[in-house]
Amino acid sequence: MSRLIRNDRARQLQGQRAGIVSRGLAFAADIGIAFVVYTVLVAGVSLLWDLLFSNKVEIPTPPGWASALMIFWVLVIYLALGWGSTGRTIGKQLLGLRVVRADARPLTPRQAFVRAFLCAIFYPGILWVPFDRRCRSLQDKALKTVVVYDWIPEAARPRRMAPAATPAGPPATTSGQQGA
Amino acid sequence: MSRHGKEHPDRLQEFDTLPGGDPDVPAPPAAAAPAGVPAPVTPEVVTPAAPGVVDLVFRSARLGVDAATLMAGEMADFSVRVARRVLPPAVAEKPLDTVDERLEQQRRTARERGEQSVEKTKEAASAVLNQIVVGVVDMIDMEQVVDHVPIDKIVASVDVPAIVNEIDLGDIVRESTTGLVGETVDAIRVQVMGIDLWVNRVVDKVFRRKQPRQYALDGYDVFGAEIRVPKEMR
Repeated sequence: MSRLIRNDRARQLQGQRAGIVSRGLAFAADIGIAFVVYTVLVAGVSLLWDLLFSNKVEIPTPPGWASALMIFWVLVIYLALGWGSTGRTIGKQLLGLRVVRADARPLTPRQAFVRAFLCAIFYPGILWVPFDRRCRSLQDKALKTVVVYDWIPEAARPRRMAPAATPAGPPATTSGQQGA
Repeated sequence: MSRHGKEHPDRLQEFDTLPGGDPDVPAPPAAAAPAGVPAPVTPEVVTPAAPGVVDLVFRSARLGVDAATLMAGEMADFSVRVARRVLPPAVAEKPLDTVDERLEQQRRTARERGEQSVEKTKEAASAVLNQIVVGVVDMIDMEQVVDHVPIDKIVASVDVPAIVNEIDLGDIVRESTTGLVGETVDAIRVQVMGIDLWVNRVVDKVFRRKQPRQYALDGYDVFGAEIRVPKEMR
């Protein structure tokens, strides 16, 4: 099942560099997901521990610095996994964004990890986006990466490694399982 | 007044005795009438009866007459054309022109009448048909008919579970929900895209930038982008 991108402006902007608001909202969603993952992780591990080695079940409350550190690493790993695989996290998928290199190729795992680390440690770097002619954040400038609008889901893409730099073809789809 | 006076003198007198006097002015409402004077009776609205079989026959005959008139006109027109060819123009031109004019007028009238007759005949036929159908249905004893229908057998022959199994309710719900959610997400994305562009424009204005922004990413194709596809999707 496929669905066309009905909005003309949105169709034209596919593959163009994204602005600060989209990227900020996507990152906010990612932080929320990282919090959820951290909570589930702590609750799951402590429950398992209590079931195996204790006779009472209780959810621990780690100290603030430990929680912050763990959330930080959860966020870094989560972002790196997303950007290193399909080029997007759940937050970016929600806003229809994708992270690629400046030469339009996907990020390598190392680049994805470094970018995730830099974004997690200093996200205000995104504030540079509206001031840059190419809409790059400080992290983008450092790593030569770009964030573009791309609503096309993975399932709708060609299922092989296609060469880059082919002109845009038929109307875009936003969801579906057909081969594009 | 004179019209009324001529045709119904006693009626005129009756009008004059009514409150208000003038028959052209509508009578005031009953509540305003003085006590003891009977309120004027409002005439019943009589709806015209639907055309019956007699109307249908009459209108069909009328239609036939109109058609015959039209045909006679055509024949006369043909005769005039023949006469124009046969007779010398100096002799026949004037009288034939006059005949032609009259014929044209008559044909126009006949055509209009014919169209009206067709409409009226259709109306009468439809009304008669309706009356027949209603009459037939009224004649049927529905309860008796229903008693004779083997509903139990019909219901027993329907494989309800098979029908229910064929309807994939889950799929229907899934598809409709996915469509709704997808459209909502798209609408939000479009809004946010607009805000992105607006912010960029504001910054460009504030800094009085003359060079346009470079939005396009060279070599990036949305449809054939090189991505790492999970094994299970290959």
